[in-house]
Amino acid sequence: MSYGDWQGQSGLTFSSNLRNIWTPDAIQEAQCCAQYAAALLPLPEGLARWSAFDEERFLAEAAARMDLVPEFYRSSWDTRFRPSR
Amino acid sequence: MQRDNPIAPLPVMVRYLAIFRRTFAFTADSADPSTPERVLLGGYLADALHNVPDMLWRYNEEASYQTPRDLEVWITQGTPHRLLDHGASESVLAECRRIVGISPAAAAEELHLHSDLANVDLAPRERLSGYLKVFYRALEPLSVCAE
Repeated sequence: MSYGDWQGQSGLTFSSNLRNIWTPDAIQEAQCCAQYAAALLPLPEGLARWSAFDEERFLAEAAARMDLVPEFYRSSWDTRFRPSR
Repeated sequence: MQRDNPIAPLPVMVRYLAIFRRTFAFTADSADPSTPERVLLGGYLADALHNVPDMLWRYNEEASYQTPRDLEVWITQGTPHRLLDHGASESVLAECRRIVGISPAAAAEELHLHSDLANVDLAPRERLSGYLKVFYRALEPLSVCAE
């Protein structure tokens, strides 16, 4: 069961989710989420301290992480922010 | 001439940026199959926070739906209660409260800002808008496991 498969299911609780979570698809998607989150980690501080933010470096490092992530998770990144190569 | 939409006041903006930072840091460190509760907490946090970017960008205390106050209550009180109702452990609840209950002083520290926010240098509007949309899109796929 993937994260997406959980949509539309009613009555799932934290405990029942835990019983379903570690299928191969779910593990892969959790790892994708972790990559996406790691890519975005510098951004909150960067938005608050813009002059000190190296946006070019951020974009390059984030793009490298996004290359590890399946299309579903990286499409919005690709369309707006992927640096040209 | 079109007027710019009002964005959130600086203390509100800084606090939520710090919450995003803690959420991203937590999620980045939560893909370990041996700690499934952490993955689920990431999903609950994403579900709670995914409307925040739009609130920050179109700040309106008088909005007819999901006012800043509504979101604040939902995130800081509703989410821990929801986790408790769904059987989360005390350690998961504590982690949730650490992330969403961040104080103004801790939020400034999280982003390496002065406590009076005097050194805030917010991104230009077009960048702020674009990156807040990235936050929204990042949180959407994460949030489905909490539905």
